[in-house]
Amino acid sequence: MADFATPGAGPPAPLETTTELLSRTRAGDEAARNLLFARYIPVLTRWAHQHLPRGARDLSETGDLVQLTLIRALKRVDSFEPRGEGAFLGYLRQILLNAVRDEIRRAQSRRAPAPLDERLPDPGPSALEQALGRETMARYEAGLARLSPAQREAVILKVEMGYRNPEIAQAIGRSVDAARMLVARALVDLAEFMREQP
Amino acid sequence: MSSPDAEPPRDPRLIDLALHLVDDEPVDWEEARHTTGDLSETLERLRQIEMVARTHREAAPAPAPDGGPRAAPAFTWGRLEARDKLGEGAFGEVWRAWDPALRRDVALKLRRAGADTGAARWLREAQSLARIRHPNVVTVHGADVHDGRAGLWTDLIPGRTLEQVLQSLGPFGAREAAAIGMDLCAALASVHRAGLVHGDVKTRNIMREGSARDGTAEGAGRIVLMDFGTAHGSVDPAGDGASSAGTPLFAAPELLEGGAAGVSSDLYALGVVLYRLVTGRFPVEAASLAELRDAHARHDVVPLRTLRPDLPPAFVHAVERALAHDPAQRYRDAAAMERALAAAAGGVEREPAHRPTRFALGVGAGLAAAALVATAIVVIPPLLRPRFHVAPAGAPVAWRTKQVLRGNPDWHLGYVVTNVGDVDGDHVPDVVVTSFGAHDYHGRAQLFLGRPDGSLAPGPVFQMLPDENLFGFAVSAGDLDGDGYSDVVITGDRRDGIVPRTGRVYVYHGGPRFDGHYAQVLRGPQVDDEFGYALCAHGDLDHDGKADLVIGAPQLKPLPAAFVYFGKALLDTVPDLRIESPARDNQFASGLDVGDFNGDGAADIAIGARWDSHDGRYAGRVMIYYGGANLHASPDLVLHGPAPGAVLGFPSFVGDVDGDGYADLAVGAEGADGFAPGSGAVFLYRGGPNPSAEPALVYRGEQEGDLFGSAIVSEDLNGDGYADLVIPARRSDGFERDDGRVYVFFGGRHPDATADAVFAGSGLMSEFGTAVGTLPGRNGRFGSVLIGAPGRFAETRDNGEAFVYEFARYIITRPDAGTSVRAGAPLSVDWLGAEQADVSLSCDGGRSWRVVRRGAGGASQNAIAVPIPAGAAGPVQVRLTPAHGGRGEVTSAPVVVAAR
Repeated sequence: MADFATPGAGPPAPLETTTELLSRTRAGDEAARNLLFARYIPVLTRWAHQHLPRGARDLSETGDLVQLTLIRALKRVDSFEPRGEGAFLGYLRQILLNAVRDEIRRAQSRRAPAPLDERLPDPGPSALEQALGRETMARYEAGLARLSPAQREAVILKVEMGYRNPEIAQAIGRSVDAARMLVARALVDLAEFMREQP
Repeated sequence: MSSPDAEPPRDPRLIDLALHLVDDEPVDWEEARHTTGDLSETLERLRQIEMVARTHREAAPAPAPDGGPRAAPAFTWGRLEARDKLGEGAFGEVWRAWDPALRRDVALKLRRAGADTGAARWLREAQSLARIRHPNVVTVHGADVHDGRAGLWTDLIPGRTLEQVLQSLGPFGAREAAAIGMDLCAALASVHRAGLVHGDVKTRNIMREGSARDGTAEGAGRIVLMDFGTAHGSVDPAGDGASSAGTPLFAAPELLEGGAAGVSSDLYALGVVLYRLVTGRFPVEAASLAELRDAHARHDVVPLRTLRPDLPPAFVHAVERALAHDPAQRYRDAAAMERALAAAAGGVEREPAHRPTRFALGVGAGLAAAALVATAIVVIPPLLRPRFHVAPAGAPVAWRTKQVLRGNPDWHLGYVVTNVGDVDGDHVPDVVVTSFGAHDYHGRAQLFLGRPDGSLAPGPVFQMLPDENLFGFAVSAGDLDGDGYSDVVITGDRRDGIVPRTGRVYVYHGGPRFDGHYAQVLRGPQVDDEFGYALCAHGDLDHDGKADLVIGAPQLKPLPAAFVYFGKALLDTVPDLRIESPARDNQFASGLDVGDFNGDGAADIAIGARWDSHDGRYAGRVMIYYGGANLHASPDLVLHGPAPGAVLGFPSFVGDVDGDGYADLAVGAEGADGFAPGSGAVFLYRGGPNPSAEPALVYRGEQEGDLFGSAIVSEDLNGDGYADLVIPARRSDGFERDDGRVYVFFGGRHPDATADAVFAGSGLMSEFGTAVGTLPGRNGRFGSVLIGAPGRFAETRDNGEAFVYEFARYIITRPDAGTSVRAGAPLSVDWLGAEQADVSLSCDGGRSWRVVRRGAGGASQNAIAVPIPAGAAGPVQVRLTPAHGGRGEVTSAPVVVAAR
């Protein structure tokens, strides 16, 4: 683990873009790597919390999954084409989604003995599935998959990661107005795709 | 596929509504329904998207990224914008501050202005803290000096301090306190490993993480060790008025006498924390520092039992050892204290908790790792059973990676990798590999067809019902219908986590045109019964020449059970025999295997109940039911786990390990050391007419928490006629090392428990060793080991891999196919394998051979040059024969002889 970042004392500069941090991470800059970790852990933790089934959410450490995701992502940073923060987040989301699914499976396949509580809670539906139903989430995922990569990134940033318009603009490298319209159109297309889903 | 450039027409009313969502403005959906009319279905989907977004937002454990209006900062310090003062003390102030680089709020701790003494050292130490990354230690992001003030910034942890919880809810129970203590031991261990001392462990410096909104303890409940104190009298950014020696009532007596803080004083302070949590008081109390020193000098400690006679003795002992006056009498390190607390917690009865923590998550001391890993129930089909041709034992053996199997991208292939015998009738055993399935919950299984040269070629994907979930958890095979082809059985839906269903087991009939379609689906009797968790299809229990199928249902209520289906063309959907567990909730039949243990010619059934508590909680038990005409549902022999928490329960008949003519039984116990942290173990029980219930040999893993023994397979890998054991340790004790190992133990007349070969995963989080399997030897090669690594990163895709390692007396690495040589020139011959070899040459395509070198090689890697006669026309081949006799002759690929 490298030394930490020092504010105002050279790199990483306060608002360094993810793309820049990725480039520096690729060049072996540990401080940039740490900053990427620190920047994305909260947003991914929140995301994972919503996507893990109730039971799995309790028994796994959401934070562990998120760290695992970042470790996986940064391990392969050389092969990642940094098209921007939106693309990077989409990429992280996919790895995290895989990790979540693994975790669900593990939670079910190997429930270790619980000497004090007798039984782990059954992994139930995720918070999203509880709120919206599994079918709706399946439609949403299927619709998302049909969007263009740029639209998908924008929707993920807006809907799942809770980014605000200026941040989305920065993340996808467009003006705020253009980003706003891109997201709006993408949301309408997503709704259409969800409707068309059998 | 839509493209933004194509710009399909979109209804402006929908765009307008979408812009409301984009701008985070509320939408009146009722009103929208009126205005959009014919678009109601799309509108409904838009509303669902809004709900997806809202549900995501509502989970926010941390403030959303910046971008909106924020209150003006009180001041800036470097890049940080200080917003609200959270606290103040003798050492300085704590602020909530916005970090634009991290895009979130952090806790900024500023030393008091003018507090220059030791600032440089303080900075150095704070910078060292930033290297520690542990879930139970607050993350320090950095430290610096700006505007003349030294400060550091850390994560802002929502929640309450343990002192606040204690004050509002009263004393803790022993179980909860032990769980907290274990988390703190883990935290301190990471601090001490970094060469640091915390120096101010106290109830006010320990947070129980709670909800981000109200700070209550309704969140994840993570225990976080906060402000670092006075390791060297310098770092105490929280500054709550503590003395330079930490907070006196938590301080070890030697610190009060001017001694230096160290590991021992941190553990003492942790002892005080635990004492206080269960009593609300301190072990040594006083009104002044002088009084406190005197009280320590008099050893004036209030025994824990005086205040809480209800506490379990083990817990009392664990805490009081940390509180020993003499540092030499305390724990040597945090890990030792954690073990003592774990052992104590194992003996604590259930009690109401303030909030479930690590223990209440149900994983229990020492076994926590098990919840995070997956297993494979790997069984050995009949064609794989070792054939016994006893040869001189102990001859060296070589091995190499023969092949790497990869599935479709994103399959996470390698969850199960097992030999299923000859499915397609070519007399070469085939392999089934299953995967997690990453884009859905389905799971996948694929047949890899064995070829005569020992390689595997991708074959059909196994079909399943459209609503299948979690397919491929367990796989077994045997000739159930007696047609000479191996039939494959695969576990399907045990449950999908959302819709409760009975388990499913698919049966696929082998044949020359095997296409992956299932012949029938068996279902468990009850919802959520976990029917198919373990299964075995390779034993003939009723002596009719057809293999029989045994399926476990470990979650069946009220009693778990195993079901026996006697083999026939189409299995009866009602089982022929039901073997019930003698007790409930013991995971009976989560591991099972079939083999002839007592040597009477009929296969016997071994069923594990790893949570069985007959002789101690979770010691585990294996019950053996002798097959034949008298097969019945009560056990003929019972093997008990060695200690509470050992979870003995994965039986595997492994062939004749010791050459006494009887098949032996190996049983895995992932938690062999009980609730104390330790490695897993495998217990070997000798088969025979009167098998003993005492293990003849115990194999152990290398590392604490390595989960050694979750699966066991066997094969004769070194050609000596004895069965050899292959045992994985999937190990899950840290992200950096979670790549697993697989150990090979050669059998012999006097087998020992020292590994003869070790395969290590090479990828971070590769989960190497999740599955193991074996293939028998052919054409001079010995057996092969199959190892699944479902987390392995193959190229850039996250799709897992399975490795095939080939064992042989010799492995010729040169010449290989396609090599050519000139007549009269030397041919380079390289090989692996330390047994000396006689080298023979054939120049007529293998019809006649001539020895060209005797006793060559002898090192693990060898190279010689063999002269090719001037008149040779080829093809030329080289053969290596063990110089001292025995099996293992190998022949090179044919080499073309080029004209001179």
